[in-house]
Amino acid sequence: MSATSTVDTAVADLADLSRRALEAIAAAESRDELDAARVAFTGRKSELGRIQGVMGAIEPADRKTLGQALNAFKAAVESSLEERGDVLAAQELSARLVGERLDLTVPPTRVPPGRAHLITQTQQAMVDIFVGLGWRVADGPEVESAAYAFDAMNIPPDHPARQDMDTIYLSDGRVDEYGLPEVVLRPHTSPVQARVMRTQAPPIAIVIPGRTYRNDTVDATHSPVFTQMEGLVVAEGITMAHLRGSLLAFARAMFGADREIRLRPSKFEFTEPSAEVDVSWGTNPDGTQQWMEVLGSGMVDPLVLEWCGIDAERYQGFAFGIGIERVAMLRHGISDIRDFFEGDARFSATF
Amino acid sequence: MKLPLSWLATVVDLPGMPVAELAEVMGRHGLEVDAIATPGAGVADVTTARVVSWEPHPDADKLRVVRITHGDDEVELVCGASNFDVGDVVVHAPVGGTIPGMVLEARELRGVVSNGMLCSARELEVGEDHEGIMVLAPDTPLGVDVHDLLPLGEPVLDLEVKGIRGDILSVAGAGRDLAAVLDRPARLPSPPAVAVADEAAAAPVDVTIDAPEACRHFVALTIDDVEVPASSPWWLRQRLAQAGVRAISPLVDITNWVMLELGQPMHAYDADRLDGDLQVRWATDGEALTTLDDVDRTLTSRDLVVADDSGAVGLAGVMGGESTEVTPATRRLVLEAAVWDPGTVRHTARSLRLTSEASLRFERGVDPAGARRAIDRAWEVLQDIGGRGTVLGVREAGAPLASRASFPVSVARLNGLLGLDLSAQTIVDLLARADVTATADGDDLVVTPPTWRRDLDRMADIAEEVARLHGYDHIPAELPPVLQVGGLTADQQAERDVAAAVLAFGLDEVVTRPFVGPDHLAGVVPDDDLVVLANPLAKDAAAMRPSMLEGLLGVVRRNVGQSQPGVAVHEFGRIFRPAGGPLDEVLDAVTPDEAPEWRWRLPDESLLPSQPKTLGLALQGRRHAPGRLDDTTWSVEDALAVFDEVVRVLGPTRTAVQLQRVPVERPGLHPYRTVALHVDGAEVGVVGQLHPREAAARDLPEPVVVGELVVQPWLQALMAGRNPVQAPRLVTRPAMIVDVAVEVADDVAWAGLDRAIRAAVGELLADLKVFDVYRGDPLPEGHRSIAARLWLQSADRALTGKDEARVLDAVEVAVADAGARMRR
Repeated sequence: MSATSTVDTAVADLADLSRRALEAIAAAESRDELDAARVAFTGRKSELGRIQGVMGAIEPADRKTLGQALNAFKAAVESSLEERGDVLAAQELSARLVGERLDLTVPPTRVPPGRAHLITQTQQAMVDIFVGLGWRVADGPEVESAAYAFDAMNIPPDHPARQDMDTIYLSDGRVDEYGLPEVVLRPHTSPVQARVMRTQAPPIAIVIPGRTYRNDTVDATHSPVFTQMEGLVVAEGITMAHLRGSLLAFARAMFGADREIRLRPSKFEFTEPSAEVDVSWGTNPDGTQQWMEVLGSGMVDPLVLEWCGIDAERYQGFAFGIGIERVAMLRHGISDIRDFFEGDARFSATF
Repeated sequence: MKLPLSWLATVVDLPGMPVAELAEVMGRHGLEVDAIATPGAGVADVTTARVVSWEPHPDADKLRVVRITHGDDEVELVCGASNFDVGDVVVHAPVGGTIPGMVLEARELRGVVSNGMLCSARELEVGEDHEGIMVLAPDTPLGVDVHDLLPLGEPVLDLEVKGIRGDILSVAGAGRDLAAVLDRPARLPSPPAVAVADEAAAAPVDVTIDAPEACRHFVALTIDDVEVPASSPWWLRQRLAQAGVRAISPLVDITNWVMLELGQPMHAYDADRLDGDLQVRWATDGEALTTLDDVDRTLTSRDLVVADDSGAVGLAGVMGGESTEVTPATRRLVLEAAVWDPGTVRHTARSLRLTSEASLRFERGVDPAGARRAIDRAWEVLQDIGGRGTVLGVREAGAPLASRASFPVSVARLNGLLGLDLSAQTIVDLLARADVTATADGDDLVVTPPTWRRDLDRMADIAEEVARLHGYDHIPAELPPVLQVGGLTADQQAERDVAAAVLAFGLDEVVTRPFVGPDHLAGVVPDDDLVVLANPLAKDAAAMRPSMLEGLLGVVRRNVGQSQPGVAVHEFGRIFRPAGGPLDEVLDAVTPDEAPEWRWRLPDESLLPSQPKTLGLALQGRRHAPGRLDDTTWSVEDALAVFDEVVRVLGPTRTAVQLQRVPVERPGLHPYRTVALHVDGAEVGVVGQLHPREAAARDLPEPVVVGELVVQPWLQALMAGRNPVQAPRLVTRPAMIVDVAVEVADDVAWAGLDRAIRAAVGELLADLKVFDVYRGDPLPEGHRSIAARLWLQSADRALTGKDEARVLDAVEVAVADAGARMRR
């Protein structure tokens, strides 16, 4: 009787324990509390330990009864712990995520890459067109010999362009036979033509981008510093048709596939025949075709070839010069050339 | 050259098209029209009238109350001029009529109602004169619209004359060329030869040429008892006005008319003020002459003069002298038409800074066969305006050019130059339009340009003439055959790669004007010698920049002035130093021996100033992104990171060259935040923070960081091409990580410890990174602790604790030798 009552008491205690354990687990508000409940109800020093201790003192027939009750208790508690643990973990993760909320509509602090200057962007686009045609790129000094800048280009000493009102000279004491300074800030990139032709045999097909200088006071349309790209092709059998073809390709690549070009007679010392080149630019209010003057060009003057040591009877060539700022101003609607040289961040950020 | 349309039409029949279209046709054939003006446009309902009476204004001293009639009416008005009298024919703009910029209304002037106004030449844009009103010839009919008398408002084409085409600097010359373009005949003035009066008593003024190299032909016409009206007729004065030449007096106006019409400048002398005959000679050094503009000039033996027995009376081809100027009192007149050497005139005009309508024409070249015709025409015009006189005779020295030299032109080469396929006959016909004779000689042509075409003396010139008359539009478009491999060379590609690397750090590219004044911040390898300009634009632009820094600081200043919170910019360009300076030694030392020379030379092999390509940068203030201002400011370390990366991009391999940082002190820079960048012991760059005083002086909020690196040596090395980087085998055994902490005084640079540690660890060291720099307790004042993490790795074995101990022992000894103490 007493044995039976022992088992019954243990089973009843277990039922009570189970009820309390499940209550405590359900009441746990954190994983720490849950852990405390687990220790309190299933740990070695817990009430469960005492009930398990009964097992040794009861009839084998009752052990089965108690064993089943213990297993049921453990299963119920464990599953409840797990269930509650999952709920708490989910709550905690959710709380963490809320705590980690970022307003990603606030712009990032990372400094973005800088912008290449519009002159550089334009220059590279222009150079790449001709590189695409199989040409190369040549370079030369900005402080240049007057011989290459003028003599080689068939610009005689008494030519107006050599006067100091147009050209900036160096005062390093070197003067030529006419008393003009020997060293100048190159007024065009043409002296590089001479440097290339003196050192390289035809065929030559190059573009020459670079900084150039004129004695112009700074205003909206004048700059003492500007950038040019010169082109030069010298080989046997080069004709003015090749000049037109190359510049038509350039105009279409740079300004649009629908563009046409127009050549007008002009006068440059280093070319004969010479041509101004206009690019079609929409229509005038009266419906006629509008043209924009973009560059100067021509067939290389035989005197230039000969100065550079090239046989003008055998070789012919064409040359052209384009103002890079002018192209950029036309393409981007820039009205003040000073914007290129002030370094204003707002200008840089635009392009 | 200004070309009034109706004057041009006297030379060539103009096609019936709008004038803008005509200008375009001209432009496409070598006659470029810069602008089309319409002086006098806007004059309406303005008519001739006669002054009936006038009396002084009752209430104004300087005004007159005038009554005029147009025939059968009478109008009262108020006029401020006083150059007229009763009976004069004047020009009346009535109430309701218009003059340029103004509609006339009845207006009360001090109590008298003025019904319109009497017009001055300037008001109708037929001249400059505004001293008085226009007074017309007495026989002018009344009530006639002024347009019936003068072509007011007609288009005037402004022709741009380029090169040496002096032949189109005249109405007749431009008309002749337009006739060639339009393939129409030209009607040129052909005045009768001046007839010498039978009763000529006195001898004409004679001429001798002592400088035939500078004067081909000189024609002098002497006229006695010359009488001309007090002023030139309005038709002549308006022509001058249209052409932009001021009317002065009939004798001077005639010479200007002939110049505008025929392109031959002329000069008029008062023969009674001449001392003897005329002589063309070089001036003597120091010879004095007062020119017509009332300026005393001192001449040299390179100036050509016309002289009489007393001395110079004119600067040949540039300007006459004051002492022999014609006046209203002139009775005996000498008219000069001469052909001067263009270079001589250009020299004098330039050296005396004196240009004139005459010098502009002579510099470009006048027809060397045209002097006599000009003389004849001047005499004709003198009579046309009602003048007269007794011709004493024409004296000539030298001779006109009979014809230009002939030369051969190959039809095949001409077509080969133009990319055309014109027949010989087509070429001959085209050239004939421009009066260039061409005759067949086998497969070639022999061409003879007319005397006035100084610009035609080679095959290429003839090709251009043929092309422009034929039309440039006929030249086809073809791509040239490419006979080479194009593309960028390794150094050119490297320049783009450098730009991309720098941009990635967030530095905008800028372009500045590369000039500096006397005050500028020194950059790499400071040098007091500058590349100085002879004719600078401004005092603060007197020399070429020796460094990129000053221009970049200008950009910082500009943006700070625009309230930018921070600035990060770079510029890639050349810096300029006199050849042979200390920077040259650096470039020589750092440029590989096998690279092409970096210097540029004159044709005589002497050196141009050094102009190496250099990368400069400037950082200021706070970092910011679009829409976001960062808490952190730009630092010297940011600048150093940029240059380190640039060198990695430029090097033959990513690790071949590293910049050594050597602390330096430089004017204007922070004494403890500035380093020189060295390669093999040579300074190729400098980076530093602006000294607080320098920043304050420039009104720039701190911090301001500047730096530059001369990249030319790397580019030079790349010119021969870039060898592909060879890949190392990647070690896959696990790396061992060992941290070391080094306590060291502030004046000992980390760079030395870094070198010492790397040397001590040797080949096991895979990487080394500083991860902490600590100051404060328990370190003594002036000391810091630097913590670095070492990655140790071996290709052939796993590392053990023994390796770690050995490395730490070695590092301890090495840093002790380098002046620091390892904390263990």
